[in-house]
Amino acid sequence: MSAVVAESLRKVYDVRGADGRSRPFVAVAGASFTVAPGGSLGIVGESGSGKTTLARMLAGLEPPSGGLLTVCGRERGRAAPGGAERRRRARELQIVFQDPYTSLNPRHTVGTCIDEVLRVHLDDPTRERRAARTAELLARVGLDERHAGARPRALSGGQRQRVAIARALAASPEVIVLDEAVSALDVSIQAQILDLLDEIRAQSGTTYLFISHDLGVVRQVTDDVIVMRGGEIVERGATAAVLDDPQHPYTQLLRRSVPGPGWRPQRRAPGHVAATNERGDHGWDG
Amino acid sequence: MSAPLLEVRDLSMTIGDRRRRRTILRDVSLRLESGRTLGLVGESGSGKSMTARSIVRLLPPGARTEGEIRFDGASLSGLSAGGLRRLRAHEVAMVFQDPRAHVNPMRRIGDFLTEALVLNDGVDGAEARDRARSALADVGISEPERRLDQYPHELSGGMLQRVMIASALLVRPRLLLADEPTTALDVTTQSEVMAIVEELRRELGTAMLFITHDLELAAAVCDELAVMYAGEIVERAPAAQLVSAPRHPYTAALLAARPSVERRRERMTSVGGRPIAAYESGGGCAFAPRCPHAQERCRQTQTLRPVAGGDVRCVRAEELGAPAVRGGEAVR
Repeated sequence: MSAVVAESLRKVYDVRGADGRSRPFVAVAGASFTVAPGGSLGIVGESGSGKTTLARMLAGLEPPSGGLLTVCGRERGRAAPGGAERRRRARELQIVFQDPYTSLNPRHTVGTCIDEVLRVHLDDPTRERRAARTAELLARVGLDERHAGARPRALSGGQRQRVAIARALAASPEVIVLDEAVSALDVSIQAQILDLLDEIRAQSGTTYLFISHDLGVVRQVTDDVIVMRGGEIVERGATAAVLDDPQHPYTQLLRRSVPGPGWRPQRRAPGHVAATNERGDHGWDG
Repeated sequence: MSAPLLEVRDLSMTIGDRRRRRTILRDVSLRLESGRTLGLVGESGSGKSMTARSIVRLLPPGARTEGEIRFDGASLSGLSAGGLRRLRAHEVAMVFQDPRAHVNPMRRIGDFLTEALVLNDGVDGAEARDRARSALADVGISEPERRLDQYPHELSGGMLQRVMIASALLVRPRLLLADEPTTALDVTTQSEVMAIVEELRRELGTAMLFITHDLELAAAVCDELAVMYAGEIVERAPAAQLVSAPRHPYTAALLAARPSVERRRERMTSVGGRPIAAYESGGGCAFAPRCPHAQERCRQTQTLRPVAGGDVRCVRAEELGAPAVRGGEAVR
């Protein structure tokens, strides 16, 4: 059984144009993919590709406009779920965002942030069990008791992202969606978090959906990849194969644009001018 | 040899108030020849942006600097407000990471572009508009005439950054300070924007100080690189040499920490801990607490000294040699 199955997943927004009339804007135009339990799927694309909308649908933050989404064998309907269903869903899938500073409560200590998740999700949430599990989770992400008493503001960016990962793990989810989760980190810290993610997957078999614009990062932490552009999947396959021998012209362009030894910046084509649709190529996907 | 276009000598900087002062920069020295490019590379808190901002004195309140900055042979330290304004208007232009934070959202692109020409250079309105239109075409913006009448919010981030570059180069500056100009852009746009900067820079003979956290991008567009850590330059060398044969353990660690698009690695972490700011470092080498090669003598004050065609601030540079670098991966 697959951990995540998406079939023709669509998201259409109503957008009001300059003339005041609303028009449909297709953010995701029928995406289909599956991720095996313990697998890691990279979702790659640039601004406006639909990758973040896809992440938001997976996390239940946006209802799909069409198609089917199955997580851990259960279909996620469009109707707003009740309390018990929400808890069950949280144990199936958690999401880690790019900037933990905006997703952690600034008034809560790190310990409290994790404890509130444990209260809901631990089968036997006694104070002792919760304290022991909090310590265990912090140790898992390379933090200790000193950090448990700190507020997010007192932590560095890398430490905050470790807290966000520990908090996601607190619900013991089958699947974690990582939305640009290492993009804002300094490279020496990013390297540490990438290793941490690798260890967690190797030890607990957690499934990853890893959304990123960074092909190097995707190569490091994913087995398979889908490449999105303008709401559509333009290429898919094993990460190594897609990056070593990209078939779609857009994937080839992405690959060519990554700086490395011998790389020179290039204009897309001689005399190429930027897209005429001002913000049409941008603005929906952060 | 004639005087370099830009020379920074022993620049130190502190911020804060009377009670507590924090060191941000320590003895930063740079030289940039006319028409050449120097990349200033580092992680957060390294002082790379503050170094660039010191040149045009765009400093936070309470900042105090020591040392000397010379532009075209003349010291900038005694510059009057008028002199500073003339320097910024004619000689040194700046492009920042977030174009939306540096443009007035209430004014049209055309007004933004022509303002400096009309006010500073006395160009008449029609002529300024002509020049603005052709500058937009130069940076690859379609329908430049129509763009002149648009507002910043009508353009995407990539488009607006092109406008900023057009604006920076309109005054034909002799030095461009580019502070992470492509960090907020998609990679394909980054490639194009950097290509445009290179094209125009060569055409105008403008020198560039390029500030970035991306060592590989810097190596691709710069002649020379300087790596900063905790407010100090730790290594300086020709770009190709610095990325193929890094001599400072921090440079090697930076190269090793960047995931490669060409190959997956068993383990990414090359150093533990986090980057620190100058005021957090004690005596001796600021990188020593994270350095896999640290020894007792690393606690002494380190000087930037010539090693193998570059300058390195590491007492062990000769004995450690250059690590073998395989496509961006440094292996000792």
